Amino acid sequence: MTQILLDFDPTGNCWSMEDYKKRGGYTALEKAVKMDPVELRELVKASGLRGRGGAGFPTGLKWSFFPQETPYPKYLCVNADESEPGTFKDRYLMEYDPHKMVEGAIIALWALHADACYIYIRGEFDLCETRTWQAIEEAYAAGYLGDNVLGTGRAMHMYVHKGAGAYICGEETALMESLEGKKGQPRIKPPFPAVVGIFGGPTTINNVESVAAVPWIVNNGADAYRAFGTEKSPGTKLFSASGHIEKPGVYEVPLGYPLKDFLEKECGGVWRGKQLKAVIPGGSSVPVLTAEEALDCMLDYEDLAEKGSMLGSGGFMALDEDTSMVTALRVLAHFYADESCGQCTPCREGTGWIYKVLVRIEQGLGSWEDLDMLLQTADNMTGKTICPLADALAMPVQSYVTKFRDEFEECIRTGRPVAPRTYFS
Amino acid sequence: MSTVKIKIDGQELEVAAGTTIIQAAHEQGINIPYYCYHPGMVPDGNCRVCLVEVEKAPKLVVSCKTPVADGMVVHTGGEKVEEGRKGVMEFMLVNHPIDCPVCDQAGECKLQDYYFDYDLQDSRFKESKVHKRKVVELGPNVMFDAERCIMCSRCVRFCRDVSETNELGLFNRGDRTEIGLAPGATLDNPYAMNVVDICPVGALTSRQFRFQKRVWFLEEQASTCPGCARGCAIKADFDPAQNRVYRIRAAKDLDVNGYWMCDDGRFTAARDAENRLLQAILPAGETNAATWLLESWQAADKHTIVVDPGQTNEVYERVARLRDAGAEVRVSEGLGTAAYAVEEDDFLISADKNPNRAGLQAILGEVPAWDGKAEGLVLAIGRDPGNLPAGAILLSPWLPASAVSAIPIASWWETDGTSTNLDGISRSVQAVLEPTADVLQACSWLGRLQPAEDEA
Repeated sequence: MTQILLDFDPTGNCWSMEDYKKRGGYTALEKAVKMDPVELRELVKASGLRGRGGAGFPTGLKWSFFPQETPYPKYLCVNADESEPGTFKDRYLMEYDPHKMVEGAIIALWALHADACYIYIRGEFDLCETRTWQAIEEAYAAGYLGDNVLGTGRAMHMYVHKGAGAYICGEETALMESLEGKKGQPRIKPPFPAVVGIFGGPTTINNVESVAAVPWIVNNGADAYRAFGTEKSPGTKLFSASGHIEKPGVYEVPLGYPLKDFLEKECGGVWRGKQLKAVIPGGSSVPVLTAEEALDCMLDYEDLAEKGSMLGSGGFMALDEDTSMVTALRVLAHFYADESCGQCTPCREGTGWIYKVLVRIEQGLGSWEDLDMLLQTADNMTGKTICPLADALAMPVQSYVTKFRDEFEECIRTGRPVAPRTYFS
Repeated sequence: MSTVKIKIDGQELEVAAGTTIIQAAHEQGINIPYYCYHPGMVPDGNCRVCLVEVEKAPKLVVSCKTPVADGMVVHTGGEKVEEGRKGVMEFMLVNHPIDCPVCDQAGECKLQDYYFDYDLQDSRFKESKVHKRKVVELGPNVMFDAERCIMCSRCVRFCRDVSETNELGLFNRGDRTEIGLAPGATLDNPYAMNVVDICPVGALTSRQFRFQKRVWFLEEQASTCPGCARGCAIKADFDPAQNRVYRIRAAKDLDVNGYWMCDDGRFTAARDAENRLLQAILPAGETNAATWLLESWQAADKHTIVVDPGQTNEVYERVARLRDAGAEVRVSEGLGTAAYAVEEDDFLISADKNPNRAGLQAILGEVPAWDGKAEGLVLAIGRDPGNLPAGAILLSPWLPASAVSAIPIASWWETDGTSTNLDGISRSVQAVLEPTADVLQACSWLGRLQPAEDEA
C-alpha cells in the first residue's frame, strides 16, 4: 500500500536532509512557491485533508478562515504537543522524518501568507526537539527558510518551542497561552485563533500529521489524495497501535480501513492467544467500543462516530479478556484529574472527584449509588467548560460504566478489590 | 454608539454593542449569579456559575464573556439553566471545607448565598477532600486559606491589572491549584487589601478584621474616606451597640475611585478613634463650655480662626460667615505624609493627606498659612497644629498637643456634611457613629458664634 507519510526506512539516517531529498523531499516546496497562495489553499481544500490531531476539522477550510488583511504578524503553529494517551504517531514522525513536517509547514506558511511558524513540541520529547531543530537548521542552510525563501522575496521563519509537561497545552488556546509564556490555561472562544492568536496576531494551528501530509498533496494533487480513504474521510491516517496486541507500532492505513483487518493484519491480532474485550480506537478520550462493536467498524471519522465512538487522534488500543475495565477507567481518570488545568470549576473538581470514586470502587468500597452518580457527574461536566478536557473524561466514563456496567457492579456487590492482573499466566 | 436589540427573560432591551449579557442583565436588575466576574476588572469566565441559555446556541454560555448580538434571546432561568447552575454549585462545594463556623466570610459569603438561592442539595461527595495550606501570611494585611479558595482568580487579576504589582499567581493545576506569591514577593502593595474585599469566599481575610466581629452584628454606612484628598467612596461597617467601626471597605464611585481604595484609608477610622477629647478643657473656674466660649468670643475685639484642611464644607461655610463678620482666617498644615507608606502615586493616593483642601479653597479662597502669630483671640478648628499661642481655644475631636483650652467636637466619622476632592468632585460625608453626649458638631459651635440671618 502506498505510504504517503511513512515512506522512510527507519533503520537508516532518515531524518537528515540528504535522505529526505533522496526521497523527493522539498520538490513540493519548490512547486508551491510558484503557485498563488489562494490556489494552494484551494488545492488543500479540494484534497479533503482533515485535521489529524483529533478533531478532524477540514484543514483547507481552516486555512480559508485565515485573514489576509491585518496589521499584525501572522503565525502558523504546529501542534506537536502529542499527549493523548495511546498516541505516539507525531513522535514517530518527528523523530524519523522531521523534514516532512518542516516542508509541510513552510508550504503552509506560503499558502497562508504567514510570517513565522512555531512548532510547539511537548516537553518530554527531547529527541523530537533535537531532530526538529536539526531539520530546521538544515532548511535554513538550504534557503528553504529565512528572509528570502527560494528567491521569492518572502521572509518565512520557523522556531521550536518546548512545552513543560502539560496535556492541556495540546488544546490550541492553551498552547497559545503557553507559547506566550503564560500558564497553559485555555482561552474562551470566541475570539478564535484565526482572529486573535499568539501575540495578538491571527494564528492557524495544525497538527504535525496534517502538516506532514501537505507536501505529498502538492506533488500529487487533490484527486490522487482522494483516491485513498472514503469520500468524507479522504487520504491516509497514522495509527499508533498499542495494548494487548502482537505488533504494537505506528501504521499508516487509508481511512475507511476495516478495524478487524487492522487488528489482525497490521497489529498481528490480540496477543498470547487471548480474546479481544474492548477497543479504544482513537486515544483515551473517545468512547470505548466493546469487541463486538469494534470488529464491525471502519477506521474513519464517520463510521466510528456513527457507532458511538470517534476516530480522534488514532491512538488505537486493544484490551484483552483479562483486563479489568474498572482498573482501566481508573487509570484513565487519574490521567485527566492530573492534567486538568484547574481553571474552570466543573473540570477541576469533577475530574478529581470521579477519580476518587473509581479508586474506591476498584478497592471494593463502592456503593450502589456510585455508578449512577458517576454518570450524572460526567453529564454535569459536559458542555459547561472552557475546553473539552472535561468532555474527554466524561465520554470514557459514560461509555465504560454503560457498556461494562457488570464489572463495576461486581466490584460493588462482592466488596472485593479488583484482582491485579498477572501477566505471566 | 451602536445598539442591538435583545431579549432577556422575555424583556425586550436595546443595549450598547459590545456589552456582555451579564452587564445587560444587571443594568435591568436581573440577577445572574457570578464569582469570578467583577465589574471593575476584565472578565475571566472560569467559575461557570453565570451560565445562561441563549436560544440557538448549542450549549449554555457564560454571560460574563458573551457579548450581546442583535436578535439574541437569553434565558437566565428555566430548567436547563437551573440544572447547569446546580451542577456547577455542586462542583464548587466538592472540595470546599465547611469552615463556616470559623470563617469570617459567613454571612456575606457568595457560596452560602448562592447555595441557598440556587442549589439546596445534600452533598454526594463521600471522598476525602483535597487539603491545602490554611493559614498563609500573604502580606502584612492579608491572610490566605488555600482550601477555601475557589480559584476564581479575582485576586490574581487584581494584582495583575489594577495594582499592576503581580505578586499573586496560580500554582499547580487541577484540584491542587493554589493561589501563591511570586517567588520572593510579599503582598504588600498599597492596594493589597482590595483582594479581601473582592474575594467571594473566606480565602482572603484582613488580618485586622479576622475573628473580630460576625458580619451580621455590623451595620453598613456609606461615606467618604478622610485619608487623603482623593476622598474615595467607602462603606464603614460598624457595630451600633459598641459604637465602633470594625471595618472599612471600598464603595463604587466611577468618577472618584472606581471600585477600589488604598490600604491606608482603611485604617483611618481606627486612627481617628485614638486620643479622643471627650470633655472640655476649660480655664480654672469655668464649668460651662458654651457660655464661656461665647463670652470669650464676644469679649475679644480681634479674632483669628485657624482651620485645618480636614473639615467638611459646611464648617468652611460657617468660617466664611465669621470672616465676613470681621475675623481673620488662617489654614493650618493638617496631616503631612510622615505616617504614610506611600506619599503619592498615579492611581488613587494623593500626597495631600487631608480630605477637603479643595473644599476649603472653593469656599474660603486663598487663605494664608498659619504661622503661629496672630492678634486677638485664636480659635483653632480640627487637629492641633502644635503652635497655638497661650489663651487659644481649640475645637477638636482629639486631645490638644499643648496647654490650651479645648472643646470636643465630632470627628469625621460622626459628622454629616460634604467634602470636595482634589478633582473638585463633591461627595457626602455621612455619620457612621454617634458622638458621645458632650460632643457637639463643629458647625453647631461655629453657628452659635455667628448665626446666619435666618438662624439668629
